Amino acid sequence: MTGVLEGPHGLDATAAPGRPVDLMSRLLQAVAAGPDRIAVRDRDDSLSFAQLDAATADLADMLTGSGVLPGDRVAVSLPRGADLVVALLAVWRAGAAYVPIDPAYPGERRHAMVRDAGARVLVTTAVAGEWPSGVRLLTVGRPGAAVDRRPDPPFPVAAHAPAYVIYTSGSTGTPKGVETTRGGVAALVAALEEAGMYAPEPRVVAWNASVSFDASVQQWARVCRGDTLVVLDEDERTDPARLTAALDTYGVQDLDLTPSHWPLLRDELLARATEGRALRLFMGGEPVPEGTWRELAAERTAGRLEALNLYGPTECTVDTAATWIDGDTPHLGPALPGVQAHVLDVDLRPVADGVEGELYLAGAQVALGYVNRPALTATRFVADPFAADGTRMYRTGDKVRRRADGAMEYLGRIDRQIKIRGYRVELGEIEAALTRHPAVSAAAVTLHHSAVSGEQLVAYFVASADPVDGPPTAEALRDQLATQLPQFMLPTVYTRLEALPLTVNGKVDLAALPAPEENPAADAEAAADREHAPEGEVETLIAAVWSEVLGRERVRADDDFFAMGGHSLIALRVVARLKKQFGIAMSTREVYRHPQLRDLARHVETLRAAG
Amino acid sequence: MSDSLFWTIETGKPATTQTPQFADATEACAWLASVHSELRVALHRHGALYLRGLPVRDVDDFAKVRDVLVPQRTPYREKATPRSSYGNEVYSSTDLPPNQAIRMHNENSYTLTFPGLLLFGCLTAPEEGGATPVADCREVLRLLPADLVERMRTAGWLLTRNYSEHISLDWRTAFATEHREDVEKYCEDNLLSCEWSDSGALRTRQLRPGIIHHPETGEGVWFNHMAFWNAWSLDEEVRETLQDEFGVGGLPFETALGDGKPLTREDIETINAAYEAATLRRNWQPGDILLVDNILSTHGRDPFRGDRRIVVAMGDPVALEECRPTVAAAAREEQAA
Repeated sequence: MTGVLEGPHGLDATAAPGRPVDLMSRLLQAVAAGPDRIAVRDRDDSLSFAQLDAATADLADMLTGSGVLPGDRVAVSLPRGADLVVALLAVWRAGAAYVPIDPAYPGERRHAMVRDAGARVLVTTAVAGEWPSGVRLLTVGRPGAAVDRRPDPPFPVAAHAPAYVIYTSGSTGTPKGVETTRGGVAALVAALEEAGMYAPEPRVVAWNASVSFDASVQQWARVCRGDTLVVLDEDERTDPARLTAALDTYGVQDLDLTPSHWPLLRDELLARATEGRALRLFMGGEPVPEGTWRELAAERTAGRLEALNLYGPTECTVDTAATWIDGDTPHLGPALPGVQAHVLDVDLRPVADGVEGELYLAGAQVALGYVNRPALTATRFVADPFAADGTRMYRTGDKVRRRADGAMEYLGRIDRQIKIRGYRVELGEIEAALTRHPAVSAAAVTLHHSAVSGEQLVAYFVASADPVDGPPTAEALRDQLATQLPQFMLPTVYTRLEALPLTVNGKVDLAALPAPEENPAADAEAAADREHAPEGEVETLIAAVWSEVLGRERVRADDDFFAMGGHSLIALRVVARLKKQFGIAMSTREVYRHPQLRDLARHVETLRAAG
Repeated sequence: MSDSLFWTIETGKPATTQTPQFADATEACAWLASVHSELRVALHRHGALYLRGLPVRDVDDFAKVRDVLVPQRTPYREKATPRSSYGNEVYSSTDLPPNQAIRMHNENSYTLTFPGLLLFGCLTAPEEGGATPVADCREVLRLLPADLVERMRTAGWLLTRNYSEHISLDWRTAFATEHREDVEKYCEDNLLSCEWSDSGALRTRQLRPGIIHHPETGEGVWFNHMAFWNAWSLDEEVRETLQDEFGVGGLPFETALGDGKPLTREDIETINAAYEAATLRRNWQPGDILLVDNILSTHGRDPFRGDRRIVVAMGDPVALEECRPTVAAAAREEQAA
């Protein structure tokens, strides 16, 4: 944290070229340079830079009028679209920090985030769900056709002013909010520019990542440097054909994705690239598997797709190392300009190149810390003995080895934080949620890899001594967890044990937990089918309709509506049967919004419970 | 050279010829060119022809045959069902789910020009079902009761489309544009009325003749999508769900007679029964080619199981005006019921 105040309106007149200034001033420069250029577009709408300027100024006015002060945290819970970009920028414009809250998260988690962040104002849609009392709700408006007055300038902020709070899974059972700085975000953008990852000229950039995931910042904030932002909607994110159609329609040049997403899009993207439609992929969020790496490296050699491997913890503002995906072996790039990467041993002594150590990161991108968690902040953000100027460095918990050329090899996690399908999950948080069930006395959760089922979360639990209704079923546990945790954190297998195996130190011996049962006959598909067999009357009913309309014998709970063709007949018949069977009135639109069978069933259960 | 074709006529099956053996598609095309005029005569007589035994193995082979049999291509306009393009103006016949039947229709009966010829080719035959049934529209016209025919002859039929963003096709896909002005221009040029709701939804309405005459044979035919898109052709479950969601009159497709009097469930059942009585079908085998005169014959699709790859090309465009329509095509503005 430099703590140095920038000049009026966030512009630092004395800044040397290339030195990061606040992104709002960059946005104003982009507005002045090309007021009529397209700034943001989604499937329904597009905003020019002038319109974006006006709309963000209007909403910033409303925020200020609602009592938002500089440095406050404002919750934003909006569906993906141009309005979301307007809201995020308006919050910055008012000098505040945004707290993204996925409208699809369970109520309990959304409430916990709003309360923890201390947000008093929430930007949401007209049809807002339930929110804690005392929170003021605002909707995004569009300025009238004629904007006569000049939009008010953004509130000038210091480099250490908060930019956003993004919640990540926390080991003690509650999510923890990482608060980053405006100077950190500006430094990130400047670093990616300096490293040549962002092209010097304005580009057309698709935004794919969830706004709850900090990789989103590296995409959407680019509008501030004059890039045109294309906000992909849920359909486009989930359906490869629609995604590529959107890429073609809007002339997208840059796209972000997680390595897990690559196999789904691979065929379509490679086909486009062969036809000469170039694309730069910003890949991050989890390690790039070797096969993917080689494939993308070959693309780059052939002059087709060019892909980047981005690495960085949320605590250090998105990306701290970047490299072009090239050569044979997956690796992390060298630290981005402005980032100091230290590979240290347990006594915080630097290790030699080629020796394994823990990665510590320092520089302007280091976050302020965890909201309301001073003790945790103190353990993860420690004094930087190398700078020795009172600044801090962040302890990543990542094991790495530095190569002679400055690149790093990622060797896994030191603690028990894992990534599944691009999401960062603290296994302890799931365990804590499990033990909140009255009939569970102890629990352990592991990430299990198998050839049959791929990566899955496996839960082990010990039933309480005298449960009132007998030991809980897998279904009961899953239902209970679903009210507290997002879908990606729900274990798929639940195994009851008499006791958890322990190490000599009295800690749970994770290595001694039994592997989940697998079919030794290697009938992989049948095993996966059993694993994901529809459960409960709602899943069964929906599966029956899918199977009938598509003429498929087997439908799984993790099957995806769009992957199966997205036929409107499925949606229509599902709606009809649910009405007949359970008396639930639902629109086909809701079927489209919950493409995974299991999610749709859960949504139906919510409607049933409410009705 | 004109005695080379022998047509097998079996009850319930389309006229079929077994072709000679050819080494490849090029050789087959030379033969097809030599029997072209004979095929044309047979097509006018039977409405649809099945050619069995041609070496058509992939899209390229099919495109070669298409170039001989359907020299003038037409693109697919005012899209109504999902299709995939295989490039070179060859399309998948339809991407709807396998176990759904597709009712009888004449391709693009609702546009001002439509393909005169359709060519289907089988690259992969399904395990079960999946025929492309055809029905002679002269026969359908003969089978229909006089009063219904008279209503159609004097009033024509009315198509209303509501372009929803998720059920059926949205307007951007249907009109292949992002711009409202393009839609409005298209509608004006093509005799569709076009209304935008406050929420930006589009509704179009068009009046079309449902009985026309073949430009070459002069015969009258029942040529429309009226039963195909009528709510009474939907099963009860789907119809009621659509009406719950979009309201009566707000369905993605609505049809009526141009006289403003309602079409009853019995009217639609009568029309569908006439199609059924005139229907001919033959199961696909790889390499089979089906040539359809789009004015003389309807086509549909039977449900199937297994992989099925039927490709289609359309061509020989015909203007509605050449077909002595009994009612002039017109845009139709909203009218009080």
